[in-house]
Order: sequence, then structure tokens, then C-alpha cells
Amino acid sequence: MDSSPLVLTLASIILASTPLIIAVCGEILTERSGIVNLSLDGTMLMSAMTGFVVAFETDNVWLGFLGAMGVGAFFAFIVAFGSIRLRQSQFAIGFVLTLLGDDLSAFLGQNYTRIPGPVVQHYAIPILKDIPIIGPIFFNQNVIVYFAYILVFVTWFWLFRTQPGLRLRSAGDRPEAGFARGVGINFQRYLYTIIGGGLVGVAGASYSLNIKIGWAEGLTRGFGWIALAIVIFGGWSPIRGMFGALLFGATKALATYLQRTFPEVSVVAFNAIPWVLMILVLLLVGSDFTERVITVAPKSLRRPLQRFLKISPPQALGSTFVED
Amino acid sequence: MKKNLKWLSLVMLIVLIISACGGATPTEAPPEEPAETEAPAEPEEPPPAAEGPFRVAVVMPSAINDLAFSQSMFDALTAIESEMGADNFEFDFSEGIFVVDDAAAALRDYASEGYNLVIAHGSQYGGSLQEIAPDFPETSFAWGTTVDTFSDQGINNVYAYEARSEQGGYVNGVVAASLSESDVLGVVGPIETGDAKLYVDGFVAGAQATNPDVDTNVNYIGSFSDVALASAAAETHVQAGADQLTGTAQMVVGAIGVAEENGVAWFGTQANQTSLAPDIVVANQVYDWTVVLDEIINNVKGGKLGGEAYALTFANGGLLMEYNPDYDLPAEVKALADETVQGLIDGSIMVGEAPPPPPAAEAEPVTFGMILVGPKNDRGWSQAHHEGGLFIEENLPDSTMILFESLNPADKPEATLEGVVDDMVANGATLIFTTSDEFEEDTLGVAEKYPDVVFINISGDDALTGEAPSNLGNIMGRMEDLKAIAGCAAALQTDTGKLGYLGPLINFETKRLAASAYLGARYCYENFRGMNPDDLEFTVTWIGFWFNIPGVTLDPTEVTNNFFDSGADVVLSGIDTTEGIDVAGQRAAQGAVVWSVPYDFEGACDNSPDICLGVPYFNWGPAYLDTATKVGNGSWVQSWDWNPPYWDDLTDNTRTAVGWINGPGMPGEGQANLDTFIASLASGDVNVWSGPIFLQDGSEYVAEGSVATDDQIWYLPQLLQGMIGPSE
Repeated sequence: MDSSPLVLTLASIILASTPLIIAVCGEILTERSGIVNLSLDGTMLMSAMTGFVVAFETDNVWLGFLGAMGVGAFFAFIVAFGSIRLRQSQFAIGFVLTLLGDDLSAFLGQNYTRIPGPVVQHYAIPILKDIPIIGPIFFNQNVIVYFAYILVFVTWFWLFRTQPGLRLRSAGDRPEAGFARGVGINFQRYLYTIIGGGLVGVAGASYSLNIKIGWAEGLTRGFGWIALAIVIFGGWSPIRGMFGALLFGATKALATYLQRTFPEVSVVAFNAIPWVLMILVLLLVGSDFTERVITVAPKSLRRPLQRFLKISPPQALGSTFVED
Repeated sequence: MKKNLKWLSLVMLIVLIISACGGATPTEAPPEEPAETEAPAEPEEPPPAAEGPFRVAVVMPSAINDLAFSQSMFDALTAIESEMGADNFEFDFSEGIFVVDDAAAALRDYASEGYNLVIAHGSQYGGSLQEIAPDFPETSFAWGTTVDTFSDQGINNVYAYEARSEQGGYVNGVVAASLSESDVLGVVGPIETGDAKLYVDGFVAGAQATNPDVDTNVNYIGSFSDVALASAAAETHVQAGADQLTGTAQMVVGAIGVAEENGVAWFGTQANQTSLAPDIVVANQVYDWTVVLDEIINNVKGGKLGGEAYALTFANGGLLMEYNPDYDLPAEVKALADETVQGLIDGSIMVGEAPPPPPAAEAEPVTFGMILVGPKNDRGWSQAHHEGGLFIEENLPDSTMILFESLNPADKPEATLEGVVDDMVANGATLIFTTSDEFEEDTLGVAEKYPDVVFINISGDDALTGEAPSNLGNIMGRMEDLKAIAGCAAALQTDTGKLGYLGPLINFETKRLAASAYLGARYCYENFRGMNPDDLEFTVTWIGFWFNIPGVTLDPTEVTNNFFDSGADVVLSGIDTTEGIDVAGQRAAQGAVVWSVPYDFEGACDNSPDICLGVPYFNWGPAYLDTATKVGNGSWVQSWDWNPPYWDDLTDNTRTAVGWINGPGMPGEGQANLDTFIASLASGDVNVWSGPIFLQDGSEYVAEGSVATDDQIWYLPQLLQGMIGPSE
């Protein structure tokens, strides 16, 4: 049972979803503080490249992650600095950084293309790994996967159960009110943009050092955009974001499965499935369809449904705040 | 995939209520329609050249005001027009035709409209012109920059022209080295090929000759069009202390901007670039194509439509040095420059000429080219070839290898086999290995272009089919036997009875290798394990190329994981890189009972020795050395070699063409069975390609009692019955 195809596939989905989970948590922290770091796709490529190159040269994956984190934080700092200090459009800066990261990673990484390098070593958690079914799926993984679980919980707890989390959300939701209460709005925004960027960096490196081992131009292209979409899909909540990432991973696995089952259908069609699904979900969330579902639901279900389906972004997302 | 991404980003932008800030997608400029002619001519049959004006049409890759390659041609035609008068001469042009197919359409249009001379101004247009020119025997064509007029193929209406840009490069190098105070020079090049490489090499040689202490930093950015990257490269040079910069091709405008900002001197080439930065441009090498065009036009008027190759040099006035009058160039430096030009004209200074052939001897050293499809350290296919090249260098004293790595559309989209070969030949290569079936077609072309150079295409069959000219041979190792051993090893070890085969793209080679592995697996499953071979599940998944190209191929990491997820416990790799064994290693570390058989490179087991059942590998050294030795002493003759293993010792790298390294992961009992199997293959007692063998569609391929012929194996049309996976 423990090595049945279903269990193995579920374990693979968990593993393949970890970088997205980490990136989503990072971006949620950033967006909750009121900044949109649109550069995720480029940041991920840069950090995937940096992570692999550093790990390859030093033969130490953890230094690779550290380097990637630095690159991610630096890209995020540019977004924060540009929007807070220079008062430029954070979307424009993020978009330009996306393009820059794509090309720059291809350029700087060209001598490290398609060569084998170090990978994250597996580490099963004693005792827990022996639980039937659950064990092999969740606890027979590696440290990055466990880090992702913990990160989801810590992010949720920090955001919704602590005072610093309240200050963070005030910067994104009611900056004026927060400021009146003595919260340094822009400090909050700098802080969480940089922390979020660092996490995105970790996500990028966990592709090149764990999931899609090695480096090649465009290795993670597209996943940054997916992470941004999942943040919206998950309603800026880390736990729902995690489910979004897992759903995406599952559809990818389903696509691979269908591909093998129907070899006569073009590969491209199946590869498109997860992306199409993401678009549909985004459209659904963005329309008033959900409101209508809630109004026709039985009365007793309305409140929980509303809690589950209603999504609203941080009120001051993407705006600049002038402290005076 | 890319389209979906664009969609997704669009939706995201809307959802996030983003003010429109997107980068406009650059659209391909449609080729400019050639001007209408009054009397529409019958296509393919131009009207005879009548009295009227002499009409010229030209197709160019970049804009006519690019201050570089295309402008030099446009200016020359304008000059001729004003010289001959609008009544006697007119010309039309299509600019910015970077896409070769568009250029081909434009060239054909022009030719069918009865122009007297149609110019294909870009070396990348050669292939198209070769097809078009014979259809219009009354029209004259010119093609540059090249030396090839296709006359050896019976085409006699094509002129070739080129610029000896290394001459002006040399002069610029001399001036730059004289002016430099930091003794650091910077060069921003596009792709290391053709005209650009000539110029850069000339510049480096000139600088070196003037001041041996000068450091010339050369940076090829890998693109003809990426202005931003050119700026970045220039910035790097300035940071490194360079106070004189140069560069060539259309994208240097970015670099010139950087030079101007930093007050660093600039040297131009192809056209006069002074107007771009009047304060810092020192000198320009200017192409004056009128020299060549005048001759061609006169010839065409006289009825000779092609067959000659022309070059711009200082001697014939086609190359000119133009100095910026506003730049304060010291008189003695100017004098030195003039002296250098004079030296190049009278031949006292030589630059860019191939070295004279060395005197004859027993074991001749050979300069040979090695073109790889991947990086030289991929621990797979390409590394094996690189080591074959090193084997020649070790065993044939003083031989030199000229290496070109990663020639594939993903890594070097703008480089072509022809361009790479041009450089290798210019650098003295007399033997060139093109080490991928991807290069088979292009190798035919270059072999015809350079009849004096020996070409060896790996895994091709042109020498077998008779398509190849006499200077092109093929080498391949008989990997089929080793793949049978690989399949056997997998079948001996599997518990689940499910094997996965990680296939590259689908062609004869990959089909017969996968089939050989399957036949070996069946044999051993039945004869050593006592199982029913029909129960063996053997799945082939083709990723679509020899290695992973994100967004284009399936991801081999994912495919391998998927094999294991669906119950396979041994994955055999047929691709150039090592994902198969890497993923198996990760899985084994998780406690899974899985195994791997990698491929191509003898050290491939080292990635994860404990789960490696052995590796079939190529050992190109002996065949390469043999070829190089024969080319050196002139005894090489064309052949198609399908080299068998050295059965007495499959690890003897001085003798065997293909080898097998036992895997540390194979337990003793399995190893004993495998050794028995190898011995029976070696003695000929067992041949896995014995009938009956059925194809995937159920038809009989090899009858009971007979053995497949070499031709049947080489040209296997489909996978075999029982294998799961597509055949085309």
C-alpha cells in the first residue's frame, strides 16, 4: 500500500508543489502589507539560476539557497524602493524586473546550462514516516518540504494571531488608521516586501536544486505568474494559497497521466490544462458569480459559504502611502 | 504554453486592476512588398533585359539606417544611382528581413519581376538563394558575405562578395592600443562567427602587435540584435578599466551610448558611426560596396551572370578608414595608422590568413574541429565526444582541437553549423566532427562547400546511401549490443516487472536502441528469471529532444518521477543528460527500491553508484584517432563505419568503440547472470535480433529462424510488439 501508485503520485504532487507554496506565502506577506511584487517570474528565474550556480561552485546546497534568498530579497527591495521612495508604479517596476530576470538569468547562467550539480538530500522524519499512507506522502520528503508546511502555518499565525501581524495588515488595509496608531507604514512595507522576496528566492532555488534539478534558460518560466495567480485564488490567505498550489500540482500530475493514457493527443493540449484551469478560476473569482451562488444557497449555508468563497484583497493594495 | 502565459498575465493584469503598463510585444515587420511593375511579368519567367534602366533589388536583414551592415549596402547603391543617373539605374530594397523564410519570398518576388540583379545581403540567406537561383537562369544574383558562388553545383548566375573586415579591425586595434592609457581595451561582439569574428580577431591582433602589454577583453554577447545586452557588456568593459572600445554588428548602438556616457573612445566598423557620438568616435572602417557592385553590374551588362567571388580590401579601395575630424588624434598615431593600411595593401602585414601547411611527416598533427550539441561537461553524449577529441590530442602529438559547444537552437539560436564550420576552416581545421544527427543535413551542405576538408558526421547514413560527397564519412558505435545488455540488466533486477525507457526524440537510431534494450530485457527475463516475457511491461516516453529544453520538451525529471510513481522500478535512459539516474538516486534516498541504467558516458554511474545497474557508453577515442591519423597522412577514404564493441574487454578504452561498465548497484547473482549473457553475445551464441520479431502494428519483421540484417536494424520502422509508447 505504501508504495502503491496513488500514494507515490500524491507524494510527488506534494513535492512538486512546495516551491509554489513557499512563493505564495512570500507574496502574501508582501501583498498584505500593501505592495504588489509583480516581478515573481523574473525573480524566480534569477534565484533558480543563482541557487544552482552557488551550490555548484561551493558544492553546498544551503549556500545556494542563501544566495538565491539574497537575490530574491534584492529584487524585492528594488520594487519597494521604487514604489515607496521614488513613488513610481510598482507594477511597472515589477514587470520590467520580470523581463530583466528572464534575460539576465539566461545570460549569466549560460555556462552552467544542463550540467549535473548538487541536489537537496532526502530526510525522512523518524516515527512520523511510519504512519501508514500519511507517512510516505507527507513525512518521507526533504527539509524544504517540511519548511513549506511550517511556513504556511507560521505565516497564517503571524498574520492573524499576533500583534506584529496586525500592524502588517494595517499597512495593507487601512494605512491611515495604522499610521495614526503609530505604525510605521513604509517600514512595514519595506520589511515584508524584502522578506517576501527572500522567500520567493528560496522557491526559485528549490526548483533548480530539488524539483527540476539543474539549470537551463527559462527553467521556471511561468511559475512566477502562477504563484501570483494563486495568491488571488487563495484570497491572500496562506492556508487557502497552499491548497491552490496543491490543486495546481494535482492538475499537472493529471495532465501527465492523461498524456500517457492518450498518447495520440498532442502533448501541448495536456500541458495547457493547469493553466486553463487557473484562468477559469481567476475569472470565476473575479466575477459576481460567487455572490449569486451565495444568495441562492440555503440560509444556514450562506454564512459559511460567504466565509469560504468571498475574497477581498487588502484595501490599500498597490497604493502609495505618504507619511506626514 | 507561451500563449497561455500571455493570456494568464493579461487576466492577472485585469484582475489586479493594473493600469496598462505592459511591454508591447514586438511584431515581426512584414517584408516590404517589392515595388509594382507596370507590366506584370509571368512568374518564373522574367522578361528579357530590355533597353531601360539597370534594375537592382536587395534584401537586407536590418534597417537601411542601422549605421552598420545594411546601411553600407544602401549607401553604395545610392552612390551608384547618383553616379549613373536615375534614368540608367534604379533600385528597390526590402529592409529588416531577419526571418530567412520571409527573405526567400522577397528574393523570389524580385527575381520574377525581372530585376537584372537581385542581391541577398546576408550570409544567412544562402540556403534560400541556392534553391531560387536555378529557377531564374536569366537573372543575376549576388550573395554576401561569403565566398561561395555555388558554381561547384552547376549554378552559374550567383556572385559572391565579402569584406575582409579583419584588415580594418587590425588598423583600429593598432590605433586603440596606441591611444590607450589604461592598456585595457574592450570589444563587444555579437556571435563568434563570420564577418564579426574576422573583425574582432583583426582588432585583437592589431592591438597585440602594437603593444604586447595591452589586455583586450572580448565579449561575444550571443546576439546580433540585443542592444541592451551590448550596453551591459560595454559597461562591464568600462568597469574593468577599458578606455578604448569597439564592437561590430547592428546592436552596438547600445555600447556606443555607454562609451559616450563614460567618455571612452569608440572605434566603428561597417559604416561611419561618428554621427552617433561625435565626441568619442575615433575612427571607422567603412565598407564601400560600390567597388564590388560596379564590377558585378559591368559583368551582368556584358552577359556574365555569376560565378565570381569578390572581396573588399584596402588594396581595391573597398575598405576605407574614415577618421572623426573632431577627434584630436595625435599626428604620430595617425601616421602609424596610415602606415598600417599601407602595409596591409602591399602585403608586408598579413592578418587573418590561414597558416601555411606544415611540412610532411609520418604521424602528421591535425587541426580538427569538434562540434557538440550540448556542453562538454554534461556527463553524457557530448562529454563522450569531447573526450574522444582529447584522445586524439594525447595520441597524435601537436594536434589541436577547435571546440564548439552547445550548438542547438535553445542555447545558441542564432548560430548555424555553417558559420561554425567557416570559422574552423579559417582557423586551419582539415577535419571536422559534427557529433549529432541534428547536424546531418547541414553537414552535407558544408561538405560540399569545403571539398578539401574531411567531415565526419556521427550517427548519420549519408555515406551509406551514397548521398554524401567523397569528403564526408559517418561513424557510429554499435550501441545496439550494449543496449541489449542494459535491457538485460534491468530485467534481471526488476521486482515489479515494469521498466521505463526515457527516450529522446523519435528517429531510426532511437527506435532501434529502445528496441534493442527491449529485446535484451525479454531474453533475460525469460532465460534467467524464468518468467513469461510477455508479462514484462516496457514503456517508452519520448521527451522530444536529446535533452531538456524548458517549455519545449517534456521535463525528463518529471517523466522519470512519473515512471516510478506508476510502478516502474528500473528506468533506462536514452537521453544525453543525467536526469534518469539523478531522480532514481533521489528516490532511493527516500527508501524506494528503484534502479537506473544511465547512458552515453562511462562515468555516468558516479552520480548515484548504489542504484546504478551499469552503463552502456560510447568511446569515440579509437575511431577518432584512426580518422585523424589517416587524414593527417592523406590515406583517409570515405566510409560508413558502424563499429562493434571489443568483446574481449568491454572496458578497454584503447580498443572498443562502445563499452559497458558494470554497476555497483547490481547484486552478485544478477551480475553473474549478466556476465553469462555478455559472454554468449560475444561468442555469437545469442543474438537478440533473432526472429520471430514483430513490429508494433503486428506485422512480422524478422521471420522465425532468421536474424535481422544490419539494414533491418538500422532502419527499424517502428517499435516492437509488446513495447508501450508511440513509434512516430
